[in-house]
Amino acid sequence: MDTSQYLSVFMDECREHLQTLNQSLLELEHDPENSSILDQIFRAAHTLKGASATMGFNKMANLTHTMEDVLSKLRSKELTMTPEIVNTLFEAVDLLEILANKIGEGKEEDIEISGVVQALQLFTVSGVAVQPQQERRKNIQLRYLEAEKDEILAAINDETGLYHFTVKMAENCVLKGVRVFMVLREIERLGTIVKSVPSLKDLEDEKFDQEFIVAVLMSNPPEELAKCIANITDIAEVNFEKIDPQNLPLEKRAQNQTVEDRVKVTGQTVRVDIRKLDVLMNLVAELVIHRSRLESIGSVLQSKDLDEVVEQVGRLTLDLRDSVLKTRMVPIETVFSRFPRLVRDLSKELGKEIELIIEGGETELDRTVIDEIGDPLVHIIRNAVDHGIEPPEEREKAGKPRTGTIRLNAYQEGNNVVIAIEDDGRGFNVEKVKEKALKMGLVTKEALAEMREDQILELTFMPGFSTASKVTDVSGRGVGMDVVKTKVDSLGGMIRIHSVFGQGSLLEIRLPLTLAIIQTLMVQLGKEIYAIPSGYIEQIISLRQDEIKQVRSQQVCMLRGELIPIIRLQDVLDTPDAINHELEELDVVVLRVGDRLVGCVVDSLLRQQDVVIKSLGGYLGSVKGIAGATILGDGKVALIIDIRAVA
Amino acid sequence: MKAKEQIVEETKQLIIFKLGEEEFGVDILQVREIEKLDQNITRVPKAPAFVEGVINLRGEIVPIVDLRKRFGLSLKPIGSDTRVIIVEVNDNLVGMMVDAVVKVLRINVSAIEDAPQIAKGVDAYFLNGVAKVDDRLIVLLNLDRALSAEEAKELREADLGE
Repeated sequence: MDTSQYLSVFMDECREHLQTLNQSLLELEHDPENSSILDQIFRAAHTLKGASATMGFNKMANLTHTMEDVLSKLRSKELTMTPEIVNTLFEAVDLLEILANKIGEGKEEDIEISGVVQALQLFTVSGVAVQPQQERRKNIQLRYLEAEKDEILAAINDETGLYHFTVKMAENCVLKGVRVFMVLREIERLGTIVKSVPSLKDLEDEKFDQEFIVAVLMSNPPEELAKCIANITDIAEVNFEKIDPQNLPLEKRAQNQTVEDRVKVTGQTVRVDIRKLDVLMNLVAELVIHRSRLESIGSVLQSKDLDEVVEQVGRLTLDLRDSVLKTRMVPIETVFSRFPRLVRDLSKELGKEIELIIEGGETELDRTVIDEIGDPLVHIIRNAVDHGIEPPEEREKAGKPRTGTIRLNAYQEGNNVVIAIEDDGRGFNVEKVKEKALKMGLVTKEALAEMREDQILELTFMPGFSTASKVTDVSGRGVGMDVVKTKVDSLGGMIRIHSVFGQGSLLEIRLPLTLAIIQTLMVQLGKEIYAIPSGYIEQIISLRQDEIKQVRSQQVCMLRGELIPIIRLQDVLDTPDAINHELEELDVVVLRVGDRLVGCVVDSLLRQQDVVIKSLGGYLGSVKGIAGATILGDGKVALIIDIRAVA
Repeated sequence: MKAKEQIVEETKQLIIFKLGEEEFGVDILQVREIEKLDQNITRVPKAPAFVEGVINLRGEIVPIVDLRKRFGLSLKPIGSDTRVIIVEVNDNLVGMMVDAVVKVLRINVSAIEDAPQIAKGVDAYFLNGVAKVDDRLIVLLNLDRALSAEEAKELREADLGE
């Protein structure tokens, strides 16, 4: 069978199940007795086994199969959960992840799985002697919920009794679904079906092995029904037993219900190729541009009817754009979910005790941002675990709880999403940072003396900077924080450090919700129009020419009692015909870049406008001072200013 | 006999355009389209000097190179004959601003000769050769080099370095 067209679907599913496995294993480690978690793990492994076998990925099928063996013994209590088993299962999941990646590259054969498979098999062999037949029977048991019990009790009288019919199909039965249908029809003829295991739906879908149990309320003699069923083709065996309604086998746990509920909630989604969404996004972007064109034509024609339509179209277009943007939004959970495992492994390796608290996982970000932000976060968390949190003994000596805490939080703030990573570890040693920065020649002594503490901490983002005196396997190779900073910058975000030595540190990453559309302020400079991203605008002020003072080579002005530098945008952008030198009253856009404020003088302010960011293309590459371009309502191109390069 | 030979011979289709009085040719396979310049070009600060700016080509931002500036020829204001030849170089779209587009011409590959050091005021480094057609001399552009952001001299040095 040619399965290549299903590969991407398989890979998606695979990733999802691997995530479930990882997550559930972590939960299981904390709560080994919880059988609903175990069930979840089992289901994920089972589905993976089926899917990989169908796709012909034998190694993955093999590995999941062995996992399943261990898991099913755990479920049937033939094995008890031990840390070794959990660790081996984790190893198996890791290997599955590697396998999945290799399958993506089309090289499943490169991976050796026998080691882990053997380790898993050891558990099943050394467990209690296996009795496969009985084990299977053990798996199928009909149990009732409290509510069902009441119903049954109400229905039963002297004539009507409750029977469990156990039906076994012939091994070579081909049309199981049809046979089941016939069996059920026979039963319905003579009695009422109360419940079955597996559920009726699963039975119809042929989701069962060879045996199923149906609970029947009937007044007719059960022997007659058993005979009827046994007469159906491909039925190997029919047994029944009368159940004492006062002694109904009851469902032990109510948790099953919650699991089902959860499945229901997540079930209503559609998987869409991200490229399709990109195409949609581009089309909507075009529409937004033409809407603006329509508006400007409308304002010239001054027709009431036209205005009305234009307004409607405008509103619809914006709604459409927002909807499309929302479909591209992914909860940051998808990135966060890999961190519990990361922290668990690292802290074990380093002999630390760490609790990871994750909040705000439901916060949504554009898919493109989500894809990019994972690695930087991994870096930061590794750093926090390795350098931030102290070993338990050291923490106790410092009067802190043995267990360190890393708090990962995400929340929306205006058009930004903030991701905060906080730890209660040792924090940054500012003196050490200073010493290192001087030694590396990143700053002069004089400059250092004038810097505030947070500015000094930002030096750690410089390439090659690492305060760790000892290089460990985990982090501290001096690549890292600068990579993080570069990545965040390239996403149009900002990163800040706060730290109190001895008490911990807080890293805040501020990211735009989406990379595709930004809110801007359009400004005029000579004959040219530029867009300034609103995210950087602190406020807009009006100044008289004489309020701008010259201090050495820098123009400055007073803003709320503070001196801020003033730049004339035309000097940066080489605009030939700017007129703001001749104006009495100046429009100044005050920008916030990091912690600094900078005043930008323009000729005039035009309007606020949401624009679609377009790249200048590969030919020009990155042009200093320009973040991109956008197409205005009249079809002209306006450039978007790269504030960080300009101010 | 002669007719047969001509059929076998490899030919090339060229777009012929003018800079001043001189005729230049560019391989038609590299040309995406030819546009009239009926919109303002948006200047891009800090871009190379020969990049006139960018235009909106049906929603795509395309940089425009002024070939006169690129080849160090005297400048000429944009007129009614001015055209932008949109070409594809290394997967990127670039518009070449030229004085006029003349026609499409099929030439025999054998008619192409190496270009002299300086052909019609253009450094040979930017050229693929010259072709004699009838009595005219058509200068064939090497787009990769002609549109590269590097200067001819630097490029040549880089090549020699290899």
